Amino acid sequence: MIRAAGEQFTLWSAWAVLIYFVLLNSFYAMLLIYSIPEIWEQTRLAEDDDFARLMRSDVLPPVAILVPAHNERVSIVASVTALLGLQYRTYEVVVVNDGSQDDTMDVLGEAFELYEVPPAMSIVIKTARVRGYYRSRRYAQLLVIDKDNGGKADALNAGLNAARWPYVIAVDADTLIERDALLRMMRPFMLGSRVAAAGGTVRVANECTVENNRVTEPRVPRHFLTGVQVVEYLRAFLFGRLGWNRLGGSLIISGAFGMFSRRHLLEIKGYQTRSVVEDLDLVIRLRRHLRQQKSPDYMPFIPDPVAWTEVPATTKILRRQRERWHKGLIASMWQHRDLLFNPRYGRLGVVAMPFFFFGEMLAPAVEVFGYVITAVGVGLGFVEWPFAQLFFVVAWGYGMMLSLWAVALEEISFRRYGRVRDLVRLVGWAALENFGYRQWTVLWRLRAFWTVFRSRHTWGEMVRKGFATQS
Amino acid sequence: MTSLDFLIIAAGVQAAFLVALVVMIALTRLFWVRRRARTAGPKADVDQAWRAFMGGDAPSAGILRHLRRLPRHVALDTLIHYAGRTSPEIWRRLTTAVANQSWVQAIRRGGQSRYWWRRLDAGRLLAVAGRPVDAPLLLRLLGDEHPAVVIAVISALEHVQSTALLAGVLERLPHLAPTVQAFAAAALQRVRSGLPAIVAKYLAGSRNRPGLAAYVDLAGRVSAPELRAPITELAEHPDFEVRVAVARALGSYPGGESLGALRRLAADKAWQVRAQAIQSLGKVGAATVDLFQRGLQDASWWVRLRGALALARSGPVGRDALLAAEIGPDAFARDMARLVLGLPPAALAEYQR
Repeated sequence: MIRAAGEQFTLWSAWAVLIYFVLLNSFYAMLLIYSIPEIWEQTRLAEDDDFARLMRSDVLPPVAILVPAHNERVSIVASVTALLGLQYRTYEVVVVNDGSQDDTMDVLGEAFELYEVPPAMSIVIKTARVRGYYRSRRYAQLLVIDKDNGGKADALNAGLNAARWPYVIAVDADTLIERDALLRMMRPFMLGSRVAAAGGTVRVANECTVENNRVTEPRVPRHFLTGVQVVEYLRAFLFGRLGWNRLGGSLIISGAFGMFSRRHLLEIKGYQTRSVVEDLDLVIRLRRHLRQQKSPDYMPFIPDPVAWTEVPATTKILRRQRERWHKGLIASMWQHRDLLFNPRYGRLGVVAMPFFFFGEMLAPAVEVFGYVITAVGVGLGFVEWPFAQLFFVVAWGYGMMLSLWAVALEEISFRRYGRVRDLVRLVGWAALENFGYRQWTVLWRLRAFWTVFRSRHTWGEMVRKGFATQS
Repeated sequence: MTSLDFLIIAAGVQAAFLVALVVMIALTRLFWVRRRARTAGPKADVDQAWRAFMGGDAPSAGILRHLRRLPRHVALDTLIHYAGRTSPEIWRRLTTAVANQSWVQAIRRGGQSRYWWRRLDAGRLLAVAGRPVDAPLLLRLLGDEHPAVVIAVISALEHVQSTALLAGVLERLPHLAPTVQAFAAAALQRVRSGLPAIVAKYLAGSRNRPGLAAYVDLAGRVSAPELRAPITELAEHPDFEVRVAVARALGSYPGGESLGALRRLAADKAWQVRAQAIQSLGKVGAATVDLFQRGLQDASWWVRLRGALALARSGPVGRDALLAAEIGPDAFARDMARLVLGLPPAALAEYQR
């Protein structure tokens, strides 16, 4: 009797898991199909030299780049210098030193000949105490804010208060932005679109050749852990977010490189300092706000503006990062649960939120449940071993196919990795990602459910090797 | 069929897909490598023929021959590349010679295509190699649903002398997004010939014309004496956006008549108009320190900034006024004066942009 009930439960559970993955993968397939016309259009426009020339005219709106920095003494001068050399007509760089315990502020002061200026600006969002505002005698478009520690979101809010221009781009202090990335990011404006926010691509800088804080030769890492992350990033950006462009926009604009309308950010009171990951929460609140205001402004993803970032090279740091990301996802989903299947919010309520809730947030739990139930089924003889083996082959094969599709999109469109050996590595990492790496990240993400409500809202710790050694 | 059979079929299909994807990736790489190799030679030949043509040593036939060897859209890119690098007279000779080439005609025919990228290529071609006979096609493309095509057509204003096209772009101007509007205004400004008279007609027409602010902005950019009066007449317009545009435009028209209107606008009820009027007064170098001082005490941060910056541009008198405000009773004015007085010349220039 108990055995029969157990068998029934196992079978029904296996079917539920199977249906879940069929639905989820069908959605991914739809994103994949939608990404094709998107990448075609974006590539055509990105390759248009003529258009690029027009973009350098003075018609594009001025932009403020916000750079929150916390204990960044090693890289801050090089990063800011690189940002001051971007190709764009009118922009300012606002560096916010968020109570660094090292001498970040002294290093900045010396390198850029800073002098204090009065806070002649309207403070719209409350932040931790600002100790001083500084301008540079060497670079007119640089503003440095020195403030008490309040976390990354708080630092961004201080920058948002001080920014003069109608659009702001939030970048991490250790992110390398390509010289023409701002121009490319503003393409929707040149096309006359009303944009509330736009996201660019973030790529993996590990093992790339970096000179003067610019990636001069992109490389695919030889090491498994960083190599598979290249594929992961390609998959996330090239087909994931591009596909979302046709579904009303994704819920994620990377905090490492995203552009926002300052007016809209001020209307929603900027970044939420209690958020575990500030970018996801910000985009959800912004989309909710736009919907409530019946604003036609949209939030596209643009694939060709590129920022390079160093990804974790050890499992310890990677685990911390993934746990933090997933905690942020869970917290945001919980906080905005009223949007779920809420038709008043259009595609945000009936497409984006359900996908992120069931397809992203619950995916690790369902996947682990699937492994366990299959193992139990095999152990108790309810499921035949060849069937279980084949089931895993199909499930992993599908994951592999999505990763290879991302590599194919990269090869059709941007072809950043010029060497054949890099392409071979990309294909190799795409094939191997599902064996070990995926399962570890699933477990780390699952752990996030336990720790989500115990989190402290501080800077995500990331031990970096730095770019200087990579050239 | 059992579920095992189903899985076996799914695995087989998937394996085939995986192999196909890997083959596709390899073939794509091969395609690009071969294409690069195939176009490198003809591109270098075009370059050489181009230099000979520019030096007057060779006819255009050499360039045309080598362009024909390139894939169509690479040839178009190459043509566009050279468009900005030659004198108008030589360029006209070359575009006349190129007009009858089969690849050029094929791209031009793309202007009727249902695919936006073909219409874009046609627009880009006509932007650099269009002739007055192409005006009907350009007008048709001006109403295209893809904004990139519209932008390409607007660029054609420089090369194609056509009153119909000029009127078409002007008519479309208020319906364009602000960024594209600014781009179109810059393109119209470069055309100039006959433009002030047409713009004057738009300004003198109905005061409720939609997009009037766009025409006022254009009039400001054109900076033709005959446009001063129609702009000034709009200083009392009920729409504050029009008044902002008037205040901005008058910054390009120094003179007593403009000063009177700008003075009135500096006391407008909308802060956007006041800020712009003070900026324009500073720009035309008007000796209106009293107005700037009043601006420095305004309730709006932007007006205070513009007032302080205008004072900084007003020589010793303005500087004295700023120094006085720095120790004055008004805390907001004090902060703003301190901010502007502390700015080095480069930062001041950057603020005043």
